[in-house]
Amino acid sequence: MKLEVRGLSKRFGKTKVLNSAEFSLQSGEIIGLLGKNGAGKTTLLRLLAGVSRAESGVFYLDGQPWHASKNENRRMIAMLAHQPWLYENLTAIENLRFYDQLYHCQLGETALRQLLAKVGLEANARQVVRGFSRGMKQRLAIARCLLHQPKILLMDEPFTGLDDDGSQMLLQVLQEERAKDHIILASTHELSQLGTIADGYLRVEAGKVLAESPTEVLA
Amino acid sequence: MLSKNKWLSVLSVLAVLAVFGALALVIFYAPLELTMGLPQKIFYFHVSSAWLGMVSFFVAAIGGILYLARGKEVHDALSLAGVELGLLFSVLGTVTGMLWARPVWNTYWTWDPRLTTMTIMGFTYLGYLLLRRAIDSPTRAARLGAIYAIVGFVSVPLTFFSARLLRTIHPTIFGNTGEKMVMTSPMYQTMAASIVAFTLLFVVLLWHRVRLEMAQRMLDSEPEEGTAKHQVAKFDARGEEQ
Amino acid sequence: MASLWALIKKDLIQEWRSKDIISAMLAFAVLTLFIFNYALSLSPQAQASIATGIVWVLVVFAGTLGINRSFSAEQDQDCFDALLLGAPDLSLVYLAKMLSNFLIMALLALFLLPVYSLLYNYSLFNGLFVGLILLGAWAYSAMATLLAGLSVQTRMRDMLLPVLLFPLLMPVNIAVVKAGAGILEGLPFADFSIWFTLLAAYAVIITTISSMVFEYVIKE
Repeated sequence: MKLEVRGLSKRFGKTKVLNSAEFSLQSGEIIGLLGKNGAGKTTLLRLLAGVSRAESGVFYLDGQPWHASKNENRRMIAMLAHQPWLYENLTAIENLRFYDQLYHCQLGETALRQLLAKVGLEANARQVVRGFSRGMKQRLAIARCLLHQPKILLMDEPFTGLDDDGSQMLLQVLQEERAKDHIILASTHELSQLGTIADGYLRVEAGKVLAESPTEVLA
Repeated sequence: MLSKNKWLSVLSVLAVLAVFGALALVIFYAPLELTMGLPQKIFYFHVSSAWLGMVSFFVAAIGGILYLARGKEVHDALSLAGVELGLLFSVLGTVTGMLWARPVWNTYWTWDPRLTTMTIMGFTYLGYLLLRRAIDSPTRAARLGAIYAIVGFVSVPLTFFSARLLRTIHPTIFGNTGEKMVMTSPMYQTMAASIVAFTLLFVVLLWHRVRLEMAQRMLDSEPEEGTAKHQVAKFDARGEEQ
Repeated sequence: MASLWALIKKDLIQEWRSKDIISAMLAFAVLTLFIFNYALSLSPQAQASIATGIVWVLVVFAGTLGINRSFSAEQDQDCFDALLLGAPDLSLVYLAKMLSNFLIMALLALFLLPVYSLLYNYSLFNGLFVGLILLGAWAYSAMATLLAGLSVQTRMRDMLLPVLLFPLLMPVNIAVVKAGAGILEGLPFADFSIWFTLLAAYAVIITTISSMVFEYVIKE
């Protein structure tokens, strides 16, 4: 799959965060999203996910016009945002069960437990999320993203709050998703984790989105 | 960008003349009503204001629907202008109604269905303005305002109908329930002239207000040198308008 | 349907676990009743004419308190965005929230009726009366849920909801109080059936319109 973006613009008040940005994302690659604080990384991810409306811009998936607002398109996206998008008064397993039913996945208890085990929360399944640490919430949020088997993964600073084990788990997950030929875009402000596996980078700068190769970035 | 509009200038002058014309008719042409006497003359402007109070709701709702469907700022400006004028005219309608009620019913306020509905309508407009003021992001204010304008418009007739089902002492001009106020043809002509004049005034005010709002927004969205950095920091936390 | 049920269930589980909303609502309603008792010198004689009014005011006030909180989980954790991506249809998000609000309101009403009957030795347990309060609670939840979705996104949050809600709730208040008085005075149904029609019309119209526009409540 190839997701192409043309003429993407978005402004907040007087500031043009994106000014007819053009770029494309190839599936089967882990792409890092770079840029200074406030350059518009989060905005770009939210526009791609369709949770924020662009001023202008067209998306093409494999050459076909693609609208993030369409039902079947929305549901092939997963977004790991700054907030974990979890219900604090529900337990870990109840949160997953909720999203499972919302997406009509019908995974069943065993599959949900396996997913929890994958992110290292099998022992906390019946605990209420309110008591979770930032890292545990992040792990559960990763499980939430994988649950409905999305084809496009958008992640905003995914390593936030994760300990070493957690980071290893996430690197593992990202590589598995790459092997499944999915589109993966993850923003980051430092390269110590993502830098080890990224296949390419996009940099948001002065309203434009520029592609950079790993050698350019690491140099 | 916002050049002078010739039509608007002509219309503005016409509207002012029409309002003075209507005022002259009210004072010199319309006869004294038999039982109510002089205070009844406020009726011409009272009815016109009440009518425009309702028209404004319609304008606000139409603006809201168009904004949700197309996302154009001018529709939002139309909706906002409709609400502001609606508040103005429903307050005018309520106040003129109270001034009329005092000598005729011997009380400023009665729980008459029309008076109550108009006041509730005023509160709905006020709610809309408070809603917008409590939102920092202009697009969100426009979006949520549009929704409120739409449900507000839907609930007004229901409010009127339910209040109407309670007993009414309001003089009914059109329709056939309640106490009748007998109108002679000079009275009808004066009323028609007042309504036309006020409606013209309303259109002109609406037009001016939409232009003003659009000019204001254009000014607000013009990038200023040197402030970009400061602006960016505000959206950083969530990448969202806060 | 599965999504609708999932959305309702997660609200009810959360509320069942914390009991934040319902306990605050019940306490508020009973305390307000005590205030009314002394403020209005309620006596058993005056019951038929004002019982409905008192009960309905308690439902509206306590309900506003509760419904104010109904979207707070979504707002605090940005779950609106999650629902935007995941819900097959955004009107379901509204319908589910409205139904769970309605259930909480119904619970409140079913608690208030016996309490009132007990304190004033005046039975409100009349099938038609209970039906009226439930129909009123539906009409109320339909409007309040939509407006809570608006007010939760503002800086003023809890303070704004009553200001937005009460003007638009006028027909419901009039209809419930008038029909309730009719029932308690033992008038024939035909005398006040028009109020039931009005309530049902309000509930259906507002539910329909709210489901249609709710997508714009959460979509940027």
